[in-house]
Amino acid sequence: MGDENKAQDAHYVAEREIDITVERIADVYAEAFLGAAKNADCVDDMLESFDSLVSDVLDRFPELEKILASALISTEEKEGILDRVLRAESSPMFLNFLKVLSRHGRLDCLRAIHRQTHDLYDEMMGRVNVELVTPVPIDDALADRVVDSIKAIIGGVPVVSRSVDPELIGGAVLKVGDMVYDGSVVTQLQNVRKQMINRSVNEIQSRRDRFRYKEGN
Amino acid sequence: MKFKADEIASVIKKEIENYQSQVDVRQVGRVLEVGDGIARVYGLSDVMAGEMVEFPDGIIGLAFNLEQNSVGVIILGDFLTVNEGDEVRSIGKLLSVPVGNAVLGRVLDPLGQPLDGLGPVNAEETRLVESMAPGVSERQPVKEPLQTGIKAIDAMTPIGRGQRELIIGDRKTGKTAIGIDTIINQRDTGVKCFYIAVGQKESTVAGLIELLRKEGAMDYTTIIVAGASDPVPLQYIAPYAGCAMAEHLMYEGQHSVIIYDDLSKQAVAYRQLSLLMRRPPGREAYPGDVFYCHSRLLERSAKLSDELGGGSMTALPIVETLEGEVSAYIPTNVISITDGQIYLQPDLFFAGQRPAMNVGISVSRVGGAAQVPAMKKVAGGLRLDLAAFRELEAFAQLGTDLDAATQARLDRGYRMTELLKQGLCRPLHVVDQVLSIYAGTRGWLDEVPVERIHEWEGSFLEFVHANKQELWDKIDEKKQIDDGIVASLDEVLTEFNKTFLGKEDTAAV
Repeated sequence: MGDENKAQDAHYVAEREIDITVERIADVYAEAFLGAAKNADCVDDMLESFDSLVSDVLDRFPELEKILASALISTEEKEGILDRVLRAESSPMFLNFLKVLSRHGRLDCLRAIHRQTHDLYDEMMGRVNVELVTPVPIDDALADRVVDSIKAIIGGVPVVSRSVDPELIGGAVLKVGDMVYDGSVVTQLQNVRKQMINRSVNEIQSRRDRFRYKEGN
Repeated sequence: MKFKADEIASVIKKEIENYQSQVDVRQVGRVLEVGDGIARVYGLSDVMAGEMVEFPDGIIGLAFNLEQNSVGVIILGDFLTVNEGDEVRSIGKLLSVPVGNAVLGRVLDPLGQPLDGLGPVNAEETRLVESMAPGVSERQPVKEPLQTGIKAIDAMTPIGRGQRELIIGDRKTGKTAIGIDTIINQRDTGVKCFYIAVGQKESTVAGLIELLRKEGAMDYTTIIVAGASDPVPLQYIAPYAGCAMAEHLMYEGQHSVIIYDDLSKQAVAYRQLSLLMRRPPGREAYPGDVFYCHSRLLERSAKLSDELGGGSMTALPIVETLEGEVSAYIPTNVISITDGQIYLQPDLFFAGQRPAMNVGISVSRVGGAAQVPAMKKVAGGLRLDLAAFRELEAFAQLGTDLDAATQARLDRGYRMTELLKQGLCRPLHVVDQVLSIYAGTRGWLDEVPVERIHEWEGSFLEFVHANKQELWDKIDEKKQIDDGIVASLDEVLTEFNKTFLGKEDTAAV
């Protein structure tokens, strides 16, 4: 039971990308995965297999994922399951990769490795993830224009994902990695407020009477 | 109070008109976990060590640990309002505090925000909390005295401006009292004072502020408080913040004295932070760089060269020992950093010797050069004499018969220790000190009963001020005791002793 919880935790963590330790482990495997695929000259195939494993198998059969991540089930059994389920369709190399993970007891990090692999691959290909947040849905032409305007800064091929957040009131927010280019109305209003407080504090303190009637209350 | 609505409206309108809309560019991360004053942040990949970051409610943090996939941030404020998943933005600046005359007379927190309810600090300048200590060519040797007003210290372990003198001792041995007396004694000297309370009870600090206010010392004193209930990161940075404020005055050519009360608590705070950040523990579980933590702080005290204005910053760090254990980690560290130490002992304290300074092992390595010549002359052999007396006293307790010479030395010793006792908040002017110690060391007190020494001193100084003010002024002006002064001093003492002891005779009859 405890292990199952742990497996669920690892799953949850991998999805929400918050466990640094898992993240670090995933980094190593992702690099090895891409390196091996590159040597065999089948990066796209391998990535496709990986995507399909996550979306077609793990997402559809969460029980299987639990079994794979569980420490209660021995490595041999897991390898047997992988063989029986995937041998027919997957390339031997991808199957080997999964077996290596199983032998190292890292099948619980599968999703994190998947995400890291994509991140690493994007980096290798010079692709940059850009998130565009707007208060209302916008058409593609406008989105392209916005992204074009920062192309020079990001230095790579932008891969845009769009989302809508009405709380921005107006303007737009572009997120490129850790950088945020925030042209939203809500932030500007907050900045005006901060500036006003900072500037007026001295004035109010030193010249209180300016805001007061001379004759008193 | 009624506000002028239209006036306020016009100010707001002007502000909005002047506001320049810009795209707000920031680097962000996300809080992974938070607690105990620290946060682990994912992202912020370009943040630099020591850089300020901002949490949603405007709470400031410092990037403390840079790791492969995350950043460890210490939170300088209420960490309970920071939540998992919050956005953290880097500000691109290092932590700084307000400095200058605006901070004098104030009680502030380590970020320079007021705690005394006297309104915002209207400082025109700020200064980086962490900055480099002045180098070799920017300094000059310590040469001016910093009078603490305490006879035992000014006579035997004199402190010079720019010196770092450690005050060390067990709990309840009067460590803080020495700092407070020093502050009170700076009233007419123009030396600005900074008192940094780290990890102390708020009630103790409140009492202390009240005392300083009553003594009229708050006008030139700044108090930085990071109390026991404040977040640990604030306790850790408080000494650096106070140091930055005192340093500013030093670079302006003024003199300042800063009291860190106490550095052992700061070390404990730093240990907590480091352990929570998973830095490897070393001796007594302190991190490896706890020495650097104190050395970089104390190195910033200096006497600047004349080209830089000749300002100074004197540091009086306080370290609390446990059961007199000076060979613990933090005490040995700070002893080796400072230019001497004043060692306070509980047995002396409870024997009524206050300040409870152990003369034998208290030293001042550089202060001698700064001592007033008159004091140097009268107190020259005092330290050794007293140390010898302590030895002799232990021997005399065996109850053996003593020869007359030994008995005389013992009697002199009893009178000197009695003379060196001094109450709290009673700092003495250096000339008064010279007069007292002159009388003691030259045997003018040998006839006075030990229990009347205190009374004798009080009335003698009163007598001099009332009748021989010109002699007092002469010593004050010359700072020297030459043969002429010695002659007239002896004359005054003879005259006074005659009346003082005579009075006793009449009282006895």
